[in-house]
Amino acid sequence: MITKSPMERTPPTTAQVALSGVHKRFGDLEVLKGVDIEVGSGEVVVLIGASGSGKSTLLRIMCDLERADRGEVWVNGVPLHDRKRAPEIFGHVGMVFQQFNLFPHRTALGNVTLALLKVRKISRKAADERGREVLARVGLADKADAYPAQLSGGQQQRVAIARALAMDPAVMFFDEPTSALDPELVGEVTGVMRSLADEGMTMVVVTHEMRFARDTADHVVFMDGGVVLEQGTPERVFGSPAEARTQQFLHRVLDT
Amino acid sequence: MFADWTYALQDWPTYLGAAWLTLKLSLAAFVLACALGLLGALARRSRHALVRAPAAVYVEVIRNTPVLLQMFVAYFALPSAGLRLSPVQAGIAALGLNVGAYLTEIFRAGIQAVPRGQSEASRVLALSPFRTFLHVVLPQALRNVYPAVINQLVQIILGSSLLSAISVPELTGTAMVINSRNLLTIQVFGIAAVLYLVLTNAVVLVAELIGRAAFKPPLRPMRPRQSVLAGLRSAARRLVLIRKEA
Repeated sequence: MITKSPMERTPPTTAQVALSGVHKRFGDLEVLKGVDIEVGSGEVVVLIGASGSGKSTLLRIMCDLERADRGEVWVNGVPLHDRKRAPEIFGHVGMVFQQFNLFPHRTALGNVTLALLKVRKISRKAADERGREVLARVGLADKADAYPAQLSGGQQQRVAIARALAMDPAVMFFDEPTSALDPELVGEVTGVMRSLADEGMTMVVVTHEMRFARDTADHVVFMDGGVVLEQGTPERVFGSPAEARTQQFLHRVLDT
Repeated sequence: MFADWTYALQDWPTYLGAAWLTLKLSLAAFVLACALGLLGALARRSRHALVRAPAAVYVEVIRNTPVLLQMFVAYFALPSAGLRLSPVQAGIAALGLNVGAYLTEIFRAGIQAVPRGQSEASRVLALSPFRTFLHVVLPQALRNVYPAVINQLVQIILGSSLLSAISVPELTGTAMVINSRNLLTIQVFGIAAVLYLVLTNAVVLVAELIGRAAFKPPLRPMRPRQSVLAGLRSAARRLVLIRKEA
């Protein structure tokens, strides 16, 4: 039997997302100090932790917007630690950003269909049809022709979710999707996310919305100082946190 | 006095012809400048120092030497290097190269002002770097810099007057020729000035209309100001109010 190099190996698990021993530093700052995480198919994993704990960096590594210095990152069967193969992941994962990052010069429908037209190269008619379908799914069928500047923050973020959905992603990543929203608009976005979770979408979510974490997550990961300090079901992590840091953090965020 | 004006205006076909040449060569220089500016901006943002360096040299050399000298180089010096250009060709080349350097910096700033998140979102959607630039970054960058770019077009029209120095029969040069013949200095240069005003304002107006049609969502008017008529009307209303109070 030929021994394959680590690069060519198949994923170590059947998990949709599998990270092992992930390290990342920005200059002198070591952001991730060896992180292992697995996300099974159809699972919703919520990353929580104080700012600077490395959650967002971890999420950005999962969609190849940052590259890990060390460790293995498998997403949807693609080894992101393999520089040559990493770009395969684009178009197969969805990313929802804190700042929406909608294309301001395109309508809601134009945002949703751009990649369908230019990457999938499907016809304009089919793209529009698909676009309206996903916009309807986030409750914005009537806003197809509105420009981002004409939409509320919550509507913009839902367009961003629709834009990701249009590509039929295997996994969706959410990087603090409600942090830039007015409090009264948070619900419409978490509502859409909840319905996605109910439909069986595999999701990794960085958020400060503890209510969402508690009632939607299958698995909660508490990060602190670049490592996973504690993880488990929401009942476990929120109900009986083992670590003092977790208790402290939850105490702070749940009180306010 | 009045007779002087009518006399001076007898040359109107010559003035109009010269203004037409000014417009044509300015637009040609502008197209060249835009192409150079876009290429220059891309080159200055390149990852490779070998691409960045020539663009930086181009910008620095052009912006730190007089445009008149650049025209002399294009017309008088290039022939000895084996490149013979007509005065109009040399003029277009010199003006285009000159403004291209300024547009390089303008486009570069416009591209830089597009948030990083735009490219990141595009990347996750599997858009190639080229498509990201074409469909996401460039439209936003152009929108950012559109007023500044149109300003450069006006600069070209005004700067083209220097081309009289290399015997291009554009508006200023033609005015000088007519003036040396009829010596009606005030009238001749007055007519030329009015034609420049008409030319630049027409170009800016057309550019504004194009901008309004081209950019989505629509640009706000570049110069948010009252029309002359509305301005007079509100001034008159104010006068009436002041009278009533007094």
